[in-house]
Amino acid sequence: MKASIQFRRGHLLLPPVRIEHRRSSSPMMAIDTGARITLITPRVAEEVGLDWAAVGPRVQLVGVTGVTNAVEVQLKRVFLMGLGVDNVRAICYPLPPRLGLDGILGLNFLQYFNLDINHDTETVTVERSAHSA
Amino acid sequence: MDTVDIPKVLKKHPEEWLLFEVLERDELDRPIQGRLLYHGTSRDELHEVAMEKLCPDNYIVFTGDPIPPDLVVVL
Repeated sequence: MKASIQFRRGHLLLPPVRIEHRRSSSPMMAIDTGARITLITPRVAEEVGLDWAAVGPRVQLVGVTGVTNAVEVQLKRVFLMGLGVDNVRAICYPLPPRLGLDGILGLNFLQYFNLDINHDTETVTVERSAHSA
Repeated sequence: MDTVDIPKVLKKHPEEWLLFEVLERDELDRPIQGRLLYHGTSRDELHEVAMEKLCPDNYIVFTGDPIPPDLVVVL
């Protein structure tokens, strides 16, 4: 099954995303093929019913501006354009308030899909990868 | 509280955060019908409303550009 959405060339890729945990929520999450792991903010964790402060090991989060500690969590199910993946690892860490973002979709989640980012047609097409079988 | 057409409501509130309780999604899982629970400029206020309502299915969206033009962001 393939699914496509439009995007604006040069802007973030913000596909329909839904996190199912104790509750379901569709936050603002960007596709980031340079991130090894998915990230959600503590607010999103609370909104889906995840007690992030009580779970998960502390991990080191390394970015271009430095190293910090974060909490690792596991989300029961995450959907990308209606296509779901179970038990998705994520880092729980706040993003700067000025950003209109609630998280990023990293390669640990994106590996379950083949992504076709077509800048000519400004279309992202997603289908399940063989890895998801 | 009235059920609204979500894409239409988004156009009425540029540069804002909005919170909906989702009642219907399309084939791509995009929310299309729901109840508007919050709109404004504060993600913190939206979070407070979300935690007060605890809806089974939320849609949280920012209708502006997520990265302000004076910021350089490397994700």
